[in-house]
Amino acid sequence: MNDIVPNIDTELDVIFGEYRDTNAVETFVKACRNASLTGTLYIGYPVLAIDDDKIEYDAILVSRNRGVVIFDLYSTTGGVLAADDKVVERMEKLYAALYNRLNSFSELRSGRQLAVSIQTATITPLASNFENVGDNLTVGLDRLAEVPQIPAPSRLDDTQIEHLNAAIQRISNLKPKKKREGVTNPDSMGSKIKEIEKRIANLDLWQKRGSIEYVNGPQRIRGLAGSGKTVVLALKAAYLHVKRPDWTIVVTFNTRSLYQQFEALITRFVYAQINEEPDWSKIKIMHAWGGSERSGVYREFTSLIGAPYRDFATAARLYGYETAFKGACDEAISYLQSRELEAYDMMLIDEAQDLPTSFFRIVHAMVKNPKRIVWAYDDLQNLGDAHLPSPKELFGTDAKGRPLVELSNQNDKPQQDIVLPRCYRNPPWTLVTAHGLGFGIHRDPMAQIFTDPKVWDRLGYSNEGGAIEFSSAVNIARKQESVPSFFHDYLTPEDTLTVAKFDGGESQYRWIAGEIKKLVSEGEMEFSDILIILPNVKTSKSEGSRLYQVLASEGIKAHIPGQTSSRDEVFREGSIAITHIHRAKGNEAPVVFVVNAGFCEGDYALKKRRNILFTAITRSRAWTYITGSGSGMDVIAAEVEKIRQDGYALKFVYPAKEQAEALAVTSDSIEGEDLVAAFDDLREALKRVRDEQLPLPIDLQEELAALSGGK
Amino acid sequence: MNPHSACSILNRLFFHGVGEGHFYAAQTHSVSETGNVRKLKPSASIGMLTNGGVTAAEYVKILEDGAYSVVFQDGAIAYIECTFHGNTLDSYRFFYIPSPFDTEHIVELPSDIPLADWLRMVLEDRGALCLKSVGALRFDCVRGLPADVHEPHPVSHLTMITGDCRIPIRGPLQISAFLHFIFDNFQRSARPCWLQFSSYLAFDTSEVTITPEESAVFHINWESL
Repeated sequence: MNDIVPNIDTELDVIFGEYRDTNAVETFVKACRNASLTGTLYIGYPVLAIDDDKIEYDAILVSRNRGVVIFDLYSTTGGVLAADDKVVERMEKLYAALYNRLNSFSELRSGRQLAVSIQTATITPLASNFENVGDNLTVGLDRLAEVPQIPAPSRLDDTQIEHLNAAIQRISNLKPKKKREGVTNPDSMGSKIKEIEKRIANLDLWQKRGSIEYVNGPQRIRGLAGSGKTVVLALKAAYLHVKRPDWTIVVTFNTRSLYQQFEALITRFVYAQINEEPDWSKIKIMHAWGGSERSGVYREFTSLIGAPYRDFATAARLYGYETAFKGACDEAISYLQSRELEAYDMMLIDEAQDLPTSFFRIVHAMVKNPKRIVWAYDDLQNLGDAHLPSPKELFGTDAKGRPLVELSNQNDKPQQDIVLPRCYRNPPWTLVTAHGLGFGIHRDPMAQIFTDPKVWDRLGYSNEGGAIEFSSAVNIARKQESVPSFFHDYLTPEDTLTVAKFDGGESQYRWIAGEIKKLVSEGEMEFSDILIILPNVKTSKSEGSRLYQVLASEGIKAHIPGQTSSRDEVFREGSIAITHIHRAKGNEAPVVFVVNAGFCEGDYALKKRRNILFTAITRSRAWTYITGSGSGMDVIAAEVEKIRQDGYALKFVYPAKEQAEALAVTSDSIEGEDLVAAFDDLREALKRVRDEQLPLPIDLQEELAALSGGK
Repeated sequence: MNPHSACSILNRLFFHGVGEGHFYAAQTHSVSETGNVRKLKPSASIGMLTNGGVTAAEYVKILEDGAYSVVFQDGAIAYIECTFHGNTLDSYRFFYIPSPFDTEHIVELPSDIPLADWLRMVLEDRGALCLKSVGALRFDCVRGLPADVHEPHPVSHLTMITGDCRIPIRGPLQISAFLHFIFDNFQRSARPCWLQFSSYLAFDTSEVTITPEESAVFHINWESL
């Protein structure tokens, strides 16, 4: 049940929201521990609406033996309790607002009555004080243990506690993007993905906690892609906007399509708390770069300091296509000197892994002290780069060489480094297989491996024999807590991963067309649920067209983003997306076909090929098909089979430290890349010769015969 | 983008370039408004020049009339004229006209004689010997064609060599895309000057107007970078 507090009857779990007085809160939390209070203690949370106004809670305890206790921490000013009538009025409002909230949950009612006891307590300056004033308790910190307990028969059960926490966290769930009204068969794939989408929409407790836990300063949120970081940032922004409406809060990101997503989420979350729209003049959703029509963080920065602004087209010409934003930010930051702009009270950054370090220095200069900067970072975007940049690397140092930003997690303090451990995007078997293939663990030599074995733990894996050691046999599998239960409820390893090998020609594409027909007719899937990925970018245009034609001949509608439709529109209703690996990045679909996967095995540029395979497979939210032809496909299929036989665990001998390091630094050489491209050209030419029955020049025939030993 | 802002940036770019010696001459652009329709152009219009190129006489007349946006140091002319509905680009005519005169004659231009006068003298003096074969590039965006137009006429197209040529383009070009094209390919030495202003002429929108029929034939699948 409650993932956060394993034993709510013996432990006190404190969730720190935003609060005013650090001393008062620290003293109070310490006193709660001294009094052996148990359950979940929310600090500075929630904010509720009452009498057309909002009311903030200083602290709420949710416990089995005491029910719900609302604590008022701040009615004491200068050691003197505020006038009684004011205290009473405030406590009545706090009580009424929470009562209304809880009473709206059928699970928390018993008949017409609220099944949960709510007590209110005002903390007094006299530590030894304890008295009943009307319905309210006035309690000194030394006597918290005397807050009355509920008689045993009326105590809350686990389900009630869970609902109670959900109600107090007051986080409405998301809505699945697709309604899937055409699904009628409860056993169909369409029905299963519908249920999975519903379950994903129910936020987990890590996500809820991540969104509430507030640090009056910098904070990092990290997790694998698909762990819910965007939602957590939106929730956090919404909560703090409600709590501190005077603050100017900026939410920023790298992918432009996130603009609409953030706007929708924040609107929904703010409304869920106070029944009002967000004040968009105070909470600003801004792209990291900005454009001519929309402001952006970098653009604002250049305007504030008088640095030249560069749009992407210009920056790409000045600083290179791949490093355009880095170049623009580097240039802009050089104009800053020692100025602090202090334009915003808080900034939340999504997709931090895609932004250059100079952008973080821009952010640091723009956010007022105490530098409330929250950044969400995707762990392991690329198998070859497991390095998590430290705050010092991102934000830099001051004139004395001291880091501008530091993170530390301490007991009874809000967590500065939050990990979201669950991956919602990929079924566990798919993820394990993707990692196994990406590293080539059953290949000799491997393609690559983490040089720091601790990274596995960070990514939600555990080793059967304890810590992973170099040069030792390992059996690595997903940790139970890293896997959402719904995958086991609706999917099995057998049906999520299909590998098929073909002789070549069109047989692979004909088979895919047949599978798609079954997916749609029997599986009740939609065309837009299906993503077809071509790993080889170079041949993707020609292969994509061939596949497109085969699908069209079978009456299956498809599109090639950037070729037959806008590059910005990967998914389109009523049509299957066929795309090369670069365009597939950042997208996901319930069904993914990785076609011509044999490309991902070879002697040259192996790392690149395996990274492509990893990325392609991890686009899949449920069912993955790996298809291809040739000897490369044999190798891939054998590796998948080994992982399957090992029960979707990675059983192998971890390389020695030196070997792992050698694999890490062995880059795909430029010569290798060139050769790969040349071989691809040759393959393409030979394919045309075969398919179009063209004559092969005699000198080439002789050359090929000589190279293959005259065969 | 607001056409008035675009106009202001264009004027700054061109006069800065003239001042720095990157361009030979430039015209002031202005925005005229009729209702919601805003037209950005230099004071004199260049017209159609439908034959796909310009004669030496036409070229000299363009110079004399000031029917250009900018004249580069090699004598090439760029012309920018666009119509906006509000702030949305609706139609345009962009020309890039390399000088039909051999470059050596332009380099020899005395400082006290206007280019048009000088070239007329060169033409009279040297005749056809001073000319070289080049063409002109014209980018058009035209919407709402009359019903009696039956020839293929893509909304956004490139005309070169002959006026009947209309090579379909994926979508309308923004001013910055046209100028990037010019400075990336034909006026590279003046590119650093352009890149100081280019960011402020950028538009966010990327409209696709090419039809499936147009995509099936030779076309330009050019997306603004």
